[in-house]
Amino acid sequence: MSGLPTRYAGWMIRDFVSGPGILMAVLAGFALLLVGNLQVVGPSGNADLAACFIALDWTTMTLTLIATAGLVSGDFAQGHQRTLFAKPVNPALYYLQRWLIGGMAVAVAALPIAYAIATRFDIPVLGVGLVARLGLLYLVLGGLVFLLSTITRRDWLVAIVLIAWQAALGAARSAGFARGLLSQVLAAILPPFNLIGLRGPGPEAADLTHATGYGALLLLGALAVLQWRPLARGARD
Amino acid sequence: MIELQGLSKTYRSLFGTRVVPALDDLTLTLVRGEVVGVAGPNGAGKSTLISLLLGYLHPTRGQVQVDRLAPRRWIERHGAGYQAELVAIPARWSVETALHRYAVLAGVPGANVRERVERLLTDFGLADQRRKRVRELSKGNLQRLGLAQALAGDSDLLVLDEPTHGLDPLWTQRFRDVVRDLRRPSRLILIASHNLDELERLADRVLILHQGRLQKVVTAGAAPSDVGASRELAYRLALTAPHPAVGRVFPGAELVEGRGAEWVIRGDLATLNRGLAELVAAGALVAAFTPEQSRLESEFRAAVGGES
Repeated sequence: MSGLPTRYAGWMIRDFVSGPGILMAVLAGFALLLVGNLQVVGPSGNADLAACFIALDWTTMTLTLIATAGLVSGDFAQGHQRTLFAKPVNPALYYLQRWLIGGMAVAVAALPIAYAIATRFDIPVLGVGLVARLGLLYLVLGGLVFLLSTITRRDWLVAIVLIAWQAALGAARSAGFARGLLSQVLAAILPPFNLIGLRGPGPEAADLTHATGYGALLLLGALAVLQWRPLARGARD
Repeated sequence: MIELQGLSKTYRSLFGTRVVPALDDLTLTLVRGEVVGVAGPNGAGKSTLISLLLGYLHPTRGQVQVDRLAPRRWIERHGAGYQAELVAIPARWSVETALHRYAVLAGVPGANVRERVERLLTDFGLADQRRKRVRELSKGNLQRLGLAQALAGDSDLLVLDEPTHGLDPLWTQRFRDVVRDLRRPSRLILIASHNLDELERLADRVLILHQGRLQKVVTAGAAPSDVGASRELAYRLALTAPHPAVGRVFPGAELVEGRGAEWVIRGDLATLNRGLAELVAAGALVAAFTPEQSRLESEFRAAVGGES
């Protein structure tokens, strides 16, 4: 018997590439096309550069949603988990591996966009820093969808609602509204999407610690649910 | 191998407004080397029992252990061969791909996977379907694929839920041969089925469940005398030609409509034997003498009160 989880990594990657990978490639290709066709505005081209980074942020978040949507819930909705986990396979490790493959795919799709921006505007944006920030974004948003996916089929939708909620709350607080206790609690509880963007200077050490800790908790939460939850709801599903 | 101690499972809706007891206080030991059948009407708790044995569900009360381990722990170490009642395999996989992947998941060493897949394709008559997508398979072929994937590994625990559902008579017969070949001293085979004839042919013991409770454990293949010679039995008697002695020897004999020389006769073993001897002595030629219901069927009806 060969028991290493990596024994099924090969076909997991192939399934990913021929599944969500196609949509991710289309999206990344579209983003690259957009960056290549942008006109530099003004002597420094800053206006477009900012727009490019905003686009990179949203593209990477969308790629993350595509890579992780239905990660666990897809199998459970179809009943595939019954056959899968009768084999000597740990569900937490199985889906962790699939989640990591999703993360690598997001990096493979997003880095060329960042590279294209850097080439287009002749700026140094690539490097360990960008990869680390991509990793942080995937840890928080990808971790959130992973956790939601262990609970609900509408994982990606709930994640979008949370992103929108957090963005609206952030905007209201910036404008001087939503300063009450409830808003403060919500701002602390909601996933720190505002700290994980790829544009601008990197987060402060405290923010980085908060976002990393938050993401790690989401990931551990997902793994804990998979370790302890029943793999079926009823006798047959 | 498997110990069930006061095992109970109750399904509850999210807010507890709907409570459905599925299994109640089941205590039982299943040992290696035996084939155990699970029979019961719809909703008797068969599939719930299987889900608990595989650790897919947590019991509400009591416990289940496989070799003194929680089921999930045991399965993550050794794996089980499991065929679900509703075979659910990713629809876009091809038959060959599916078997290859389940063999890999089952922990078959890389060098042996191809050979194992080829053997399964041949044994289950799927070789000419190997390139077909799972979604394109007929019900019978899907059922065979479900059975083949369950045997992709070499587990000591096989759990087959309605394994012949959707199979044609030829493959139903083939399935029996497969199960006989799968028997070995270290292996426990559990088969849940509505098909009592199949269980009677294959199982050493049959658990009869009804409304979540274990009603009876029937040792299959035992002689009727094991359940008491005084018990009334029903047999079908066929003669080569109608004979006037039948009515005298078996006063309650019911002529089977449309069959000139066939009757259903009832009585305990001694009465039936005496009557048969008398009939033969009177010159009747017996063509067939078969149980009207199989023994398991009789036990089943007695246990579930005629509901099926």
